[in-house]
Amino acid sequence: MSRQIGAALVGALKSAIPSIVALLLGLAASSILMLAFRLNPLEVFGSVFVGALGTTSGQSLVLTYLASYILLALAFIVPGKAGIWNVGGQGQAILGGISAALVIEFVPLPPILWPLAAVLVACVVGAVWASISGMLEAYRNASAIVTTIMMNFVAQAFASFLLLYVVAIKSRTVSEYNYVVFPPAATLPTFPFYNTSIMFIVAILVAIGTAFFLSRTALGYNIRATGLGARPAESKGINPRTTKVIAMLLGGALGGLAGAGDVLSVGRGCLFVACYQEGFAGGWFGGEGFAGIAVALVAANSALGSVFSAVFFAILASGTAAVFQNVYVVWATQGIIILFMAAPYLSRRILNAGWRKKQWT
Amino acid sequence: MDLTPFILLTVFGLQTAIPIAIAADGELVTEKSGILNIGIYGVMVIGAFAAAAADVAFGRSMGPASAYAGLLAGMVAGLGVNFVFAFLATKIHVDQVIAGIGINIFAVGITYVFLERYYKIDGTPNANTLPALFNVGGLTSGLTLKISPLMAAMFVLPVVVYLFLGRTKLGLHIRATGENPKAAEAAGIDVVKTRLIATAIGGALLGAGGAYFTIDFNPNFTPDPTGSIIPGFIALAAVIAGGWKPHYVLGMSIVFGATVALQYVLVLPGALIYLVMMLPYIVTVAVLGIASKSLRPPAALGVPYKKE
Repeated sequence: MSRQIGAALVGALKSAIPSIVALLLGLAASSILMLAFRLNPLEVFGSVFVGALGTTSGQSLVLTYLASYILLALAFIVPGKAGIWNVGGQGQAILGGISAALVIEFVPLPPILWPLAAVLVACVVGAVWASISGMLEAYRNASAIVTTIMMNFVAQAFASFLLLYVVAIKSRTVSEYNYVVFPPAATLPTFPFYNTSIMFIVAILVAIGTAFFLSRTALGYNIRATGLGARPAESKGINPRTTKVIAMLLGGALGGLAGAGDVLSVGRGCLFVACYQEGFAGGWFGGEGFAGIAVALVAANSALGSVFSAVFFAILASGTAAVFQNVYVVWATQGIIILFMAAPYLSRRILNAGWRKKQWT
Repeated sequence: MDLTPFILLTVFGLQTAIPIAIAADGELVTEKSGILNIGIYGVMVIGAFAAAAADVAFGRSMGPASAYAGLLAGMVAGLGVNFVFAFLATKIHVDQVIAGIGINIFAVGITYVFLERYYKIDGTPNANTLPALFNVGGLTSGLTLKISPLMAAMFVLPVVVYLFLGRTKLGLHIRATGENPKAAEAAGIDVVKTRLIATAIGGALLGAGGAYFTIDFNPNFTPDPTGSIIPGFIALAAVIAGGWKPHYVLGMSIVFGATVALQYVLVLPGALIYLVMMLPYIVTVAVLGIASKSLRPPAALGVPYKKE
């Protein structure tokens, strides 16, 4: 069993080599940009790493981001294996988060059941939301890339509406900090010694489960077969349309789970405007949903690999938040890295050139 | 009957539609060649910043005309960014969707870096705005509708784009490249070059759309210059909902502009405004869902072309 896991890890690492090269190229390009602005790239990246790993609060933030990043990467990967683009992780997380918050606000339950119910509802809402785009692509030929992007904005606005509406009917005056803290019984258990919840452990377990699901179960096989082409899948007796919708349901559930984690974690364990917005930005400009896509790309769409690439991006985000310095340069760096991620062909060509050289000498 | 809300909606709606419509025309030309750029927002932000910077730089020497220098700079910047994007998409075969996301994030970061380094982080100093071609006054209590050159462009551009794509040789090549690059190549059209040109032209229009915010709507560049309009994705929506036809795209841009402007006009109790803000995106998803079988996107949209 452990040998199998080891082999899977080695496989994941090998397939990730092109994207790791792309990542390094992106970092190199960002360094050139920093030099152009007379910033020392070593200093910038150094301060980011010290900020993220040097203090307990930085480490806590890394773990908090880690949970969201892994889950949102999986939300991109699972539908991706079925050949459907889920760019809507952001919207699914937002709606999942807000519905988890609504459960906490309006449905008091016994201690352990309370957060569990909230998480479950978040997953269902995320899944249903994502399945709309899934069905539109499968049955109406409407590109999920576009519909999921549009649904992100719908989700954002709808969640803002719910948020303010809840404030109004609960006749709460929003505090000067713009948030209301949940009762401890409603939030997820704290991870010892850190200001974060156990969500990141859940996320890692979910990543292992997803890898197992995709490679070892019948449904996982169907999903991968659909991704390789609708015709070949049909010839194996798989209905590619239903499979696409199912993959999207699963992706949406993972996105919703990420959102629930954002809202129910310690340090976040709160509802309402400021906290809510900060939570779903997840240290990433444009939202943690897009961070999830970057994580998935670096991991070369491997569920296990996403754990490792999520660590890197969580350090990047947490470090920037911790040092409050050069924030904008790091934002630009995030963009550059994604640009290079988009070019697997480039890094593969560079790698191939390296191969050829080796063969010659 | 008090017509004031309708007049306000028309005025604000038309103004809001300007950047959406101009950018949508740019995206339309780009998409017709088979390149899907979802980094519209990023290109517009860079265009907006370049326009403001040039406006400030030439303010002394050129006087009020510096706004035109700003417009030109915005267009050149947009052209440049989109050209790089097209280069990545055609030569290095990047994934266009991912690269678009990258551009959106990069653009915000890099403009903030420039702001922080050369100006103040809360914005560039005020400079000139484009002079009005004429003003429509006396609409309602003191409100005048400024017909700026960019608003005129909003109505002229669809005609130009229609004629360009439909009646010129380059336009024909662009459409052929977007529909069937293999056949186009066989007919002697240089697919890569055509896509580069189309995307560059589109970029100039995206830059002009972005420049609207800093040389027309506002006199300077502030962080998050487009505010709640998020014109990039609405422009993308307008192109799709308009079925890749210039006149419908203009129509959808104005409809979406008016929808966004509703939030300035309606005095809604509290949170309801967010429900209005959802409308452009819901309309687009609905159009895609209902009419996707009759919508005709360029057949090779977003598909990298590799020579064999």
